[in-house]
Amino acid sequence: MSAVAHISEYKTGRFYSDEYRGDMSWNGYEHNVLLRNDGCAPGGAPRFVDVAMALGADDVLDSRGVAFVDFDNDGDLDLAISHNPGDNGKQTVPASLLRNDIGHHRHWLAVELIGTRSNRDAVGAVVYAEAGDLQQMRLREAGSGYASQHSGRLYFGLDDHQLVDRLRVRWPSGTEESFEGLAVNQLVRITEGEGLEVVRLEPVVTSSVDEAGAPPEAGP
Amino acid sequence: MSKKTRGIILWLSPVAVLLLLAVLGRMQIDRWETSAQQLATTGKGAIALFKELAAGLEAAEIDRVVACYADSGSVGDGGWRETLSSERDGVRLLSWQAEAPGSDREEVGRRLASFRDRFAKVESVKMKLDSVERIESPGHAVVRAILWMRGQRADGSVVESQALLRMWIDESTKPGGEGWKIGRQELLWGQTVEGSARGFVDVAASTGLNHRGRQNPEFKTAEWEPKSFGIIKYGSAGVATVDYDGDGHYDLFFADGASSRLYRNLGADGFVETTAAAGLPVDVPGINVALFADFDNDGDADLFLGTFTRQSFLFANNGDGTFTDRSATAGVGGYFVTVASAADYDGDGLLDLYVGRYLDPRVDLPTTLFYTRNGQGNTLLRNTGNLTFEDVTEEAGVREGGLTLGVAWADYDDDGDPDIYVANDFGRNALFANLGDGRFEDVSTQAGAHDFGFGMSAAFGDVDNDLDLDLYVSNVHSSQRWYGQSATLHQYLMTSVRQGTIFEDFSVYREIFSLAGSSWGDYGDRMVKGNSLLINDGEGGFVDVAEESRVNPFGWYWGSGFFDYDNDGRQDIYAANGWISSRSYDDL
Repeated sequence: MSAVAHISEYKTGRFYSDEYRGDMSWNGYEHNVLLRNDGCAPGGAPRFVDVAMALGADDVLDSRGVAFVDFDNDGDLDLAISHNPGDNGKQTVPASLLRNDIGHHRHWLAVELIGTRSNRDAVGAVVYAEAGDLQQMRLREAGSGYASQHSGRLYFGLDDHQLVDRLRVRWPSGTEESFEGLAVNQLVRITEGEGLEVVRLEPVVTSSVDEAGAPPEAGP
Repeated sequence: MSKKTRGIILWLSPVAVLLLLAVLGRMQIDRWETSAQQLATTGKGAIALFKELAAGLEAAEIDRVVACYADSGSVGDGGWRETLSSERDGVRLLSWQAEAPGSDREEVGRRLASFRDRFAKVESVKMKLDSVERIESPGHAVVRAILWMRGQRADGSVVESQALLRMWIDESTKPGGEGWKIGRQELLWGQTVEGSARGFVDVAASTGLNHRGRQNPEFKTAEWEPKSFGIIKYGSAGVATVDYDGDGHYDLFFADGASSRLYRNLGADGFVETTAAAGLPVDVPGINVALFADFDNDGDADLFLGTFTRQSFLFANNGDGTFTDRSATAGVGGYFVTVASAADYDGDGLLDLYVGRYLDPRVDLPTTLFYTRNGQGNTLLRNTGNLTFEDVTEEAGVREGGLTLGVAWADYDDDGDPDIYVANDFGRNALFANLGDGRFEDVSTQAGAHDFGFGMSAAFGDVDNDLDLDLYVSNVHSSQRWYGQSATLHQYLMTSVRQGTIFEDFSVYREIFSLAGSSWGDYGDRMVKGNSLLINDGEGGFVDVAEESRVNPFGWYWGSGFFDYDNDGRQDIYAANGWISSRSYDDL
């Protein structure tokens, strides 16, 4: 309720013991947030709105690590979440895998990178995509957030664009390559200095487990 | 004047100065005591008041709600009108406009009752003290409160309303109406979000992903009992994804600090647990973080396991779905590891590792609540080939003694080499610019990237599509923000003097002053204002737009990062929230 009241216990270490807290929570039962980017106001910062509850991603467990991964190869990033059991008497807590039923209703492009002069994973590479008036970038990283690692395959959301006009890769080695006129809703693999190939993605249907009913229709 | 008199005066004057200082100091201390006391009284009063209001609203006992307001005519906005501002992917966003200014408390009660009636089912109502804007005099304060209502509409859709309100509250001593009351209220912003709750579906159980997170059992042993920092056990639960067998399906690894698990993604057949079959440790506690990367450039992902209560591990991927333990020769260090991230910092084509570490919870406490540098020190491990590493932390200048819970590599300044961002619990973060010669420079101050919060994670991404990398840092906000004030810091300081710890903490205070100046009050609010969105200005600096962008919601955040969940071309944010859920829903 008030750290002011606990200050005298701070340096004794009692402040951090289970006995001191007793059955009280410490900002427990708080919901995860999904902050939707609604774009920038002219000249301003991007504006966000929390849509976690409305979309069913508002987990209330003591969540820690979060990994973004397209586990079902349907073109959008799902959420794998790892939780700590907390202190409510349960010794274990099940992990969550939240399948994204929204993103694949819009267009996308997935990109895998293979370094040759650069490290083979191409960690540190940056990919720029241009589709009409939409320009964006993705970073190939390995490890971020809290004790988490996301998909090494990069995903670009393309809204309703039918074509990626240009895809530019800046490799960790410093070389740059660019590719033009790519179809959407596919996975491409780019090998440093050796070009681009389209790779067939094997989608995984998990609809039989969608007890909640049909996903909502996405629209503009 | 005789020699003797002059001697007495010379002898007396320092005493007089000391006496004067003591008297002034005593007065100052009294003022600090009084303001800390007022803040505590106000905070407790406001918390009790808002709890009662929320309980009344949840139970639909509007008399209880009305009794939270002063019986003095106008109490400000009577209610709020909702107007649809967007609808997409089945999510309806309604924004609030204040209406009926100058309403009395009965009118406020009627309007709140009708607002509540729009919910067919109320799941919970919470109202929390967000911050104390000012204390006007004892018993009179201006505060900000956040209100949530979660429930369902008649058509079965879920609904969450959230509002930030400014409230003038007063302590009443009137018989029969004692306690704190709301004298006036004003809407700062409010919104309602409705949807089917079916945009994301938890398929863990139905796809065979049956991992259950536990806590590190070694914290229950005599050797590792965390006598100083007991809550360390609530921190663990890492997760990593990789296609370790190259079959085109991304697999998952859970590092919960107790018993790590690898789950192979079979595609249509779901997940199968394959830790032991892959040659990975099944019951080795202490593994807090897993990081897959092709450290030997042979075309498959090797595995670093960072550990808290033992040496870390390095496993070579054999290319056939199994791994071989190379820890004995890898030189990857270990102990107190929380997080890790890989990049090729020296451009030799081999991936190096930056490993974040925490303090030793058996003997160490965070030095102070708001600034701590007694971590075990992070390590930079240079890949020397053949799955061996050397510790180059000192020559690279990236030891960083904070209590690290987030590390991320990115070329934020676009000069061709990867830089490091470090998020630290209990105080300042650090941005290390790669100088390109094997050394790094701490540029946090000039880049505006200290972010003095309780840093719990960090991630880079381009959130405004201007083609440079911004940063999201998760922090603590929750019910801590209201006491992030000079009064609390002064009281903390006085407690340190009384308890005799001021001397050992002195270097900490000196460092805060040199970094943040003497504006204690502002420092306190920056500590607990919540998550930060640091926008890259393209010139080597960052500007925090969290308040304007509304990405620092109430909460206690852990893992976070950017992803475009709806594929609309704009990076969204997911942030894990919640610290320790215990038997009681009430918070410490």
